[in-house]
Amino acid sequence: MSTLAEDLVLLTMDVDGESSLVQQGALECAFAGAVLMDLAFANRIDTDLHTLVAIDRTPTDNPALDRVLAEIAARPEAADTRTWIAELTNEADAIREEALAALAQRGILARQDGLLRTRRHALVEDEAKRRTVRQVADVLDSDDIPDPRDIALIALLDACDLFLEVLPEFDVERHRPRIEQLHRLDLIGRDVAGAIADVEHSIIQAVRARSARFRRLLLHLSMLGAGAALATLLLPRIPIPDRLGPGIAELLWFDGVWQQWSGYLLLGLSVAGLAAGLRLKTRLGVRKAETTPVRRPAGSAQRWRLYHLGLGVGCLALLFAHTGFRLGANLHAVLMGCYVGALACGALVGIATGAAPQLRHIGIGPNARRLILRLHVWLLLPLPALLVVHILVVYLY
Amino acid sequence: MIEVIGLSAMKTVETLRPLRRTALVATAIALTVGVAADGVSYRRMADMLHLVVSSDRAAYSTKVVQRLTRDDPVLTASEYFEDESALPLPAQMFRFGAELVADETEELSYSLLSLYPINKKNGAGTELEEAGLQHVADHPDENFYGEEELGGERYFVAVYPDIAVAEACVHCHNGHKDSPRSDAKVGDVMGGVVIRIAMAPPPASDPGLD
Amino acid sequence: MRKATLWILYVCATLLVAAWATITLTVGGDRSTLLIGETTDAHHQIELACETCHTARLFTDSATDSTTDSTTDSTTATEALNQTCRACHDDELQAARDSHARKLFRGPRMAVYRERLDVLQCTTCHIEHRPEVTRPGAVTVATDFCIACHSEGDQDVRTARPSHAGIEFDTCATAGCHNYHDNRALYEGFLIRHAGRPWLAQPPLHKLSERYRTAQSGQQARIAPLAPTSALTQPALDEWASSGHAAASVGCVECHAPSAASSVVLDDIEAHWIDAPDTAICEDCHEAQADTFVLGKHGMRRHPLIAPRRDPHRQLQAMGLLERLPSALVAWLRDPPERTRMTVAEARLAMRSDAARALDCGTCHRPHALDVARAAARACATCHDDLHSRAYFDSAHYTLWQAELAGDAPPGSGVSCATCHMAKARRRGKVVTSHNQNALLYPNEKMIRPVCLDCHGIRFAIDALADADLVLRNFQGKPSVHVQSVDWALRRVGTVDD
Repeated sequence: MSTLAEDLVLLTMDVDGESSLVQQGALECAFAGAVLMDLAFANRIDTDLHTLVAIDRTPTDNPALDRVLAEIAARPEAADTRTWIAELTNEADAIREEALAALAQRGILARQDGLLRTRRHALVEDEAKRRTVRQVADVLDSDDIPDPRDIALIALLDACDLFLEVLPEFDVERHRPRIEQLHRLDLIGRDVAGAIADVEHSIIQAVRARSARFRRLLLHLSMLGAGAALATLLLPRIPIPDRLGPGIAELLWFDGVWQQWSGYLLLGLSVAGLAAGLRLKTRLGVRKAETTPVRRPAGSAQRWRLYHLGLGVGCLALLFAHTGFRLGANLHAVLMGCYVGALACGALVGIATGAAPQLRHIGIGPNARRLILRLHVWLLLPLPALLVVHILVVYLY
Repeated sequence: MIEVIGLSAMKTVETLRPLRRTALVATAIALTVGVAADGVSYRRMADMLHLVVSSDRAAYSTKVVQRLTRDDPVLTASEYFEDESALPLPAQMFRFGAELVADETEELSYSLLSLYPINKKNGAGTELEEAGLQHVADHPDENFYGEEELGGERYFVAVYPDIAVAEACVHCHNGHKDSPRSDAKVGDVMGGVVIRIAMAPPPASDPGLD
Repeated sequence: MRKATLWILYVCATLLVAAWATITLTVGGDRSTLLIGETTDAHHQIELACETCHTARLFTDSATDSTTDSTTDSTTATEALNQTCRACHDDELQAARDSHARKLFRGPRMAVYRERLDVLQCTTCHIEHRPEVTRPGAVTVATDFCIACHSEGDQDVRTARPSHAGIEFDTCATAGCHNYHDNRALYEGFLIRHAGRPWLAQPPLHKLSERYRTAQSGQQARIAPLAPTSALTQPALDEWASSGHAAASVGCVECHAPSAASSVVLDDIEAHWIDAPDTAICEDCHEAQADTFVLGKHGMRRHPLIAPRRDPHRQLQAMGLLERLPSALVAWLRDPPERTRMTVAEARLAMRSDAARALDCGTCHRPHALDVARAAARACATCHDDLHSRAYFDSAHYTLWQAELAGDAPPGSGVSCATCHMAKARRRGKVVTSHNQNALLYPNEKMIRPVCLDCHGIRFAIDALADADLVLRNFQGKPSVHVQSVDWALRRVGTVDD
């Protein structure tokens, strides 16, 4: 019988054996919670309103569980579940390492020594991961009463907001009623029910705090981008001071050498932004009905989303350096329009993601987000051709 | 490098030989300039060029301006000659020639400068010009030679004393509203003819032409 | 699969656009959508004849060494561009006795000034396609540009001239005191020489106009018209009979059948008859007018230095592509038809909405009447509808012009549009009218010598031209600004200035 931590490792790792698919903060909470939940299932701990206590110090045969159990038992003063989650979050790496070791011992993973003395674990038995994924999918798709452990795993994934990451093909919102139903299922006959609920509650609180931080960052960055795009389109151009001398404004916007630097830097940054966007697209697993693990690029979707957005904002800053809010004329103006439009739509998608709950509240759902995303992509399409026109005109005349 | 020689190659325009001689010298110099790189020293080239420009100016002064404004007065000479149907002043004629040369080449330029210029742009513009003008003012019998770098190019510079030879020159200079000096006398050094020749970059092993 | 097809289509479309841009820029086709910025008022008419100015070969280094000798082969793009400026504008600058002529700054002594402002290149101060820094006169350098050379050492005008102490450099060329190029009416000696004249001469007469108008009056037909009956109409005959052409023995055939001009046989004339002759026929006789017409905005599209349409055949042949491309594509690559005449619709000044016409000789001079008096004022108002033009008909200048036309005032006393904007000049013993309407337009001090000073004193003229509102009102009233240049000039020479 695998532990919840081991299931988590399997669910969140790619074929290279890196548990890098998900946002690191949420994953740490998940590992901390998984250990506590496993201890509760093993009837080793219990919780009341204020404290989490060890009720049975018998070892469980799992080194990770036993180590945490010993820590809880050895603690002289009482501490509540949230405190333990917070403390164990710091041990998430160790918990993960121990889960990896356990999986390796069972032949599911193979330990490899990577470059620069790094250690990696490659998945040698795909079936194990497939089985775990299928297990979760089956529970969500059926109306049966599942095993309490599966309910706990789903609760863990939901609490940590990991569904989108580990099961991208699942429309979480569509399965929301089922997840809620599983939450409400009375874990009859199990003394651990209270402990599990408490752990889950504590995790939700911890993750929400982290998730809210991410959403805030996302929202702020997106609003910055949207503001910058709007400014580029609406603000009057920055006038060149009517004073002789190599003023920075004149150099930036009228000196051929500076123009080339800012232009090509902008091009480079745009390509980087595009690459980050493609990574994000791959990370979000746009492929449909995918139940087998696929090779995915490293890094969490959130991280790539932030990179993508950050690069977009950087592009707008560099665009200002290149144009000073000058929109240009003729086809050059079309290039400017498409470019700024694409960046503005990207920023709006960011806002729609960051403020999803609030927007849902006022009736703006994922459809609107999808529409803006599509516009974002469409506006990008003419850019290469227009850019060729722009560069040719500048150099040929 | 600043060099001063004891005796001026050309003292005043009064020492010039007849015009025909000037034309011959001009032709000779035109040929000489062409072979300058093959061995004519910058100093010698400058001396000969000075001979040409000074002779032309002297010829214009005597054969045109003096004749038409004094000997056989049918015209006046004026700084505003275009608007007054007058003759250009000799110094203006000198400048027009210098401008035409400047418009053709950057290897040679010449100008009439002074420590007391009526037009400020004809004052010393570089340290070497200042030193040269001062030197010829202090030593009317000597020329002044030197090298300087302008706009990234190295130039051989020669400064020749320009001496007031006629009362008309002195009168006009002393009376002009923009003249910083009003006590000039005939025989005074009024300024200098500055000739600049672009120096070819010497080969690494070549110690220089002069 | 469908997605892959779409991607292939997308890549093909992108390549097609890139190919179109490359071909349009290098071989032929309409380039109007590729213009990088609005062209100045000075050149907008010829903005699609790109090769007029952009003569450099492809990918020439644009980082120009300003001191490049124009005689060398290694002509850079900027130098090539500047050569085209000079090709068209050098004569004008020379006539203006350019105060900052290029030749004055070419010597090594001037290197220090050139580093501050590269005055050897026209494009240092006049760059095209940059509307936001384009100031009046197509000037794109900062208004205080004089500071570059006239603010230090001996050249510091604030110390050299006590009257200039504390004056900001952005007023040098904007207050009516100095121009960069043309100071013929503003230099100190000129101001002093003309300072004593009253604001209005008695009698106020424009001398060249007086000579011209005197020669024009009392013209009578010396020959009988000879033309096919079918072509003769009474109004045309009436107009011709009182025209300068009739007085100069220029009959119908000279314009309508030039190849039979020496014939008196009607059949022969009829065989060569042209109902609507081209303006080239006018140019045959009116060379001076035609030469100047192409220098102004009315006729600049016909200037001989305007680049002709590109020939895609030649370009493609050079590239070895002519035989490989379908002829329809080659035909499509032709530049748009040449526009050799300016149209009212394309003008940037306010024009009458009902004046939809292209400009040539007949626009102002009715072909048979050739009424120069009408062409001098009334004809202008058939198109121009700006405040200055409209105000003219309420001005004292117009009243004088009417009086002259009515015979109540002597020739040369009236002031028409042409008096100021089409200055007359002596040419080979005759007085001819310049047909370059722009020659004296900007900066307007250019008008002082050839026009204003005949009737007005220099103080009044400078003040009037510096008063923008007064200019808009077409000089109805007295100037409300006073330019002190004459006062300062007099003070410097010690003349008491009352």
